Amino acid sequence: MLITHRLAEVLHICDRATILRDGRNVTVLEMAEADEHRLVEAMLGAPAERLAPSDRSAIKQSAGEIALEARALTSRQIVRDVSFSVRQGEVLGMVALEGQGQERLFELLSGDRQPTGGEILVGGHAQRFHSPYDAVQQGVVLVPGDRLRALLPNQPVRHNLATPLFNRLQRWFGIPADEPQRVSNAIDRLSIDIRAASQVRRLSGGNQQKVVIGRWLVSGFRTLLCFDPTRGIDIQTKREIYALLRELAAGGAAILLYTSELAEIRLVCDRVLIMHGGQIVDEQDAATATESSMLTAAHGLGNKREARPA
Amino acid sequence: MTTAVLRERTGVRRRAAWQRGLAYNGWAIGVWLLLVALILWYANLIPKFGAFQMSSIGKNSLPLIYLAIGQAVIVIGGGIDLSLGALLLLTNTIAARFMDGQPLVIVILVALATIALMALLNGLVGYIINRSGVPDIVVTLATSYIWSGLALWVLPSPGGGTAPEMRWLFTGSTSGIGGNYFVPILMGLIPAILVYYISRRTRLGLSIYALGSNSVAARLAGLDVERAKLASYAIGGAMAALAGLATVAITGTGDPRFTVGANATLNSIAAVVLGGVALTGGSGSVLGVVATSVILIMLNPILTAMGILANNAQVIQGVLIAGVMMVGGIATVLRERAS
Repeated sequence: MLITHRLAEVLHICDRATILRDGRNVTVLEMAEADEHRLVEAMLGAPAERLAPSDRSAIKQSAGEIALEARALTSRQIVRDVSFSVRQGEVLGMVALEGQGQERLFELLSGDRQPTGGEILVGGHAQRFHSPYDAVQQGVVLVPGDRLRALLPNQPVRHNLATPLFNRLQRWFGIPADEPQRVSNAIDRLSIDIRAASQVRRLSGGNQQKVVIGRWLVSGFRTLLCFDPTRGIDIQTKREIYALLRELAAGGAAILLYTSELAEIRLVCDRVLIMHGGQIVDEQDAATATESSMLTAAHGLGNKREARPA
Repeated sequence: MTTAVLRERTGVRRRAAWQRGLAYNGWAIGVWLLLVALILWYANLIPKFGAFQMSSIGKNSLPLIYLAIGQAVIVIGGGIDLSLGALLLLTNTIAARFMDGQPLVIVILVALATIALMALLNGLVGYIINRSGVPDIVVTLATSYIWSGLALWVLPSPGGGTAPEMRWLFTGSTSGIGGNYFVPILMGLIPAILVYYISRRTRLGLSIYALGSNSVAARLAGLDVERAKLASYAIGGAMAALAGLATVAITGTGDPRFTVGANATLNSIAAVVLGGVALTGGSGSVLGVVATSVILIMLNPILTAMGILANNAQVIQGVLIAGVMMVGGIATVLRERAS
């Protein structure tokens, strides 16, 4: 028996698939006669519209000023001479094989670690982040790849959502009155299931991830760094996260999205950067990028990026 | 989303509001009820129960209440401080030596200065823990010897004294015997409520809870975790200073013996654990710790009143602590299983 979220595995390996939803045995599919679309429908419990790439013509025009820029960013031999920029209203994708320096790059951008060379510019001004506190103050916020590094496991959902507000509180005179309202708005907007709200570790992975993202909706931000936000979560929540990221970008946020699922690039992103060996080796237009074109670059094959303007 | 679903969801939330309060403070409410039951039982156990007994329990609990509150804040922040008892010792000796025979103004100045000094010293310890990355338990073990040594240096043998007004402030009586029992009760409750408010309603306190719950996540969420750690140790130091001042007020002298401090530290940890503050950090409440401090102090006279010898009483005390903790552990397991 194999329990998995990855539909490709089911399609390739399995003879039969049982789909559970809300604790009930929903469907048993013979894989000989099923395709990915049938699986998705059974998991969602409703006829699924096929996911379409979002309409980018409108987005391109609204793309605004450069929100976050890296110039020759370097961290020892792990990240080398990385330069790129994300504009307001843009979702910039990032693709790499495992361990090509993408974790370290996100650590640098979120202030978790200081670069050994190069600089980070926020809104055109060079910044030195001594800790994530500095980055958050500048509106650069992180959704970490590991939810265990993001959540306060034994604290209630509301407390987890309000965490970044703790910096905004008046220091001695209690919590600002709009805190419960902001938190409730985030719960509603993300439709977080709050039946197990007393301790966030009891939520499902998808709901935990919503809390991690929702935290920044509560506090407000300008640039969102997402490290593989859909790893290991259910398909319903994945779709909600795609829609949310597009919505946030349309609202003027700049988003940098690293993902291990190449299909997400086409669904969510405007441009995609490909990393290999600590460097950005290629940049492609998300609308025209294919799995093979991205994978070729991710293996360090193909044309170097120098040919393209940044 | 349909309105039916919306209504159902808000219904869930409304029911959760008071349940949440109960679940959040369930243990604290439990130990307060236990304390009330113990006092009623004790009142029936001894032939005469009145103001004298109340003030005796009240004032004798004060040092442990302060120390346990300080320890609770540090433990909630994910640390543990083995030096609080030694800080009590140091404050006690400084106060006894420099308050002895002095006018009231000097006495008050010495009291305020020691509180500030201990907050500063222990805040420095918090800073060292932040910077060095050495575990809290190691650093505070080392500093506990330093503070104890300094205490012997300030006051080599028991002695010294304090002003009658100082004794009244913590005991309700200028001679330290009998007196108005409202004074020690208020002196216990006011700092407790103040620290409770800071811990649950200010950004500093909530940062301390977040730090104890998951320090990595708290940092990545943009909280200033180093400041939170430092502040929790500074609060612990200030509370230890209050405990030292209370000790000099109750006994009327200074006592630099190492065992006094070591016992106080161990008692503070026992009170914290019994009070529902998990040693893993990030949970529990300062208010529960106040009740368990009083309970720990009351156990001795109760067991004596029951005619149990002091040596046996200590065994029973240990068994009771283990028993209460097991009840708590089993309750947690059952709740997890029910969810």
